[in-house]
Amino acid sequence: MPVVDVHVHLEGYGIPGVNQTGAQIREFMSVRGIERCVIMSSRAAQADPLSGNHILKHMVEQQEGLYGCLVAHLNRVDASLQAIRDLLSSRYFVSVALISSNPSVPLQPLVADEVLNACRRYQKPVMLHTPNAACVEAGLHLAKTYNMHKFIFLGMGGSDWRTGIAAAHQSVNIHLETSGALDRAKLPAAIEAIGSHRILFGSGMPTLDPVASLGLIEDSGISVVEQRRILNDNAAKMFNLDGDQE
Amino acid sequence: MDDIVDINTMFGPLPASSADLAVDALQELMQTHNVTAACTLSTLGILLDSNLGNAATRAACSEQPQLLPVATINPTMFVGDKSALSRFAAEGFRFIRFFPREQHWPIDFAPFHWVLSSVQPTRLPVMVNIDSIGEITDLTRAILAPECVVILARVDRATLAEAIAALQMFPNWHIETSRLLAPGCLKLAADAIGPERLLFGTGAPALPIASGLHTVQFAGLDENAVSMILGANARRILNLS
Repeated sequence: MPVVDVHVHLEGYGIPGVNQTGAQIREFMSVRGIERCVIMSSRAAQADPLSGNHILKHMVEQQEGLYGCLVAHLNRVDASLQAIRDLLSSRYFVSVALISSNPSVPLQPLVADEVLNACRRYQKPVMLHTPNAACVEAGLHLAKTYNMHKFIFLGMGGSDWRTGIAAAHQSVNIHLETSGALDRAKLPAAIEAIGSHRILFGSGMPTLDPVASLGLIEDSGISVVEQRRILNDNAAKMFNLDGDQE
Repeated sequence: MDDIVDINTMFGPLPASSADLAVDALQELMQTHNVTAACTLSTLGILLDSNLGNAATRAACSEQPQLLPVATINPTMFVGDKSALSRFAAEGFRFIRFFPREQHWPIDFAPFHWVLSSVQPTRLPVMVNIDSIGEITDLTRAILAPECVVILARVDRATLAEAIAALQMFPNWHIETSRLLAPGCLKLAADAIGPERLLFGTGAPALPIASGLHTVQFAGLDENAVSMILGANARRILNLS
């Protein structure tokens, strides 16, 4: 079954040979049967949004099956807006992630406004880290306010995944990404509440080896049709991965 | 697939998960992944009362030979009664588990030290959940006898360096693998301390067995090391036939 991993990080991991370059990620994923993935730059998230996103573009351009998620850092708004203007129209960037210094702390809507307004014209899905209920609630507020955007909640609330599911139930422009808690109960509950068409497979690699994340899909007792949607079809459709236009 | 022994499973009610963890669900997962034996305990022993939980564990395991009973004690309720502890080995318990975070007590805790010194005459291994940086260092001060077999459960990428440092000091300490799911961590641990000191565990049925299993299989270890981690080490340390 084809697999798209929508949540992979470039750089920022202490163990060598995993994600320091696009080629390493491509090889690492390929061995695990993952043909395509969406990558965000840890350099952009932790140090410099402008250079981090440009380096990422350079790397994904050279590797088939790799796509970029532009990181917009809310503490570095000017650099992030510049990166959006420079890069978000590229077909190699299929998404934008809003982040702050601490992923566990909810985003400030007033600061996010400026970045989300700048993203409007590109119409690319917006990723938000949602490792807990507070981040889910902040994300829900943004999703309701900016209902022209599709939002992807990375980690779907972590161990508070019930809150993530409830948010997605409230707002149809919220999609849930499967990294976070490896709880076998969460995917059946999410499918029951919102259907399998708004759930995307992501590992958060290198936080988790993608095979561990795939193990959750395998052991969750969901149907083959639902697995195919979550592992491939939903992401391919959302990011237009099978299209070929600029 | 080689012999697989999962040393970290449980059954019973678990509010942190959305559903009760049924013994049937555990057995179904074991069957799916050809897990030959699972060390398990009732969550009642963690959440409510260790005597009640240990009795439930024994009852469940007496009906299912592939389930191996694990005892637990809550140090916050231990006031010196050693009679139950002294019976653990005779009652068939394979080791004793501790759950500091779930029961809200620190590793550096006098009643825990007391329990540890009290269970040492049973010669049963002890397995302690590790949930934050510093706990393993605290544990190096808590365990009194160097011959005591200790298993550090839920060690993850954040606590791996601390675990390796502790294992360098204590040759009878081991690491359970359920949280070593980040790329390269298992290989790093195996290279640093030897694959003979890693024990396969999953947290099933709340957590998937496939995640842990695939991570071991893709860790870049040789066949012998994989075989040791998945089953042989547990059989040796826990004296399983």
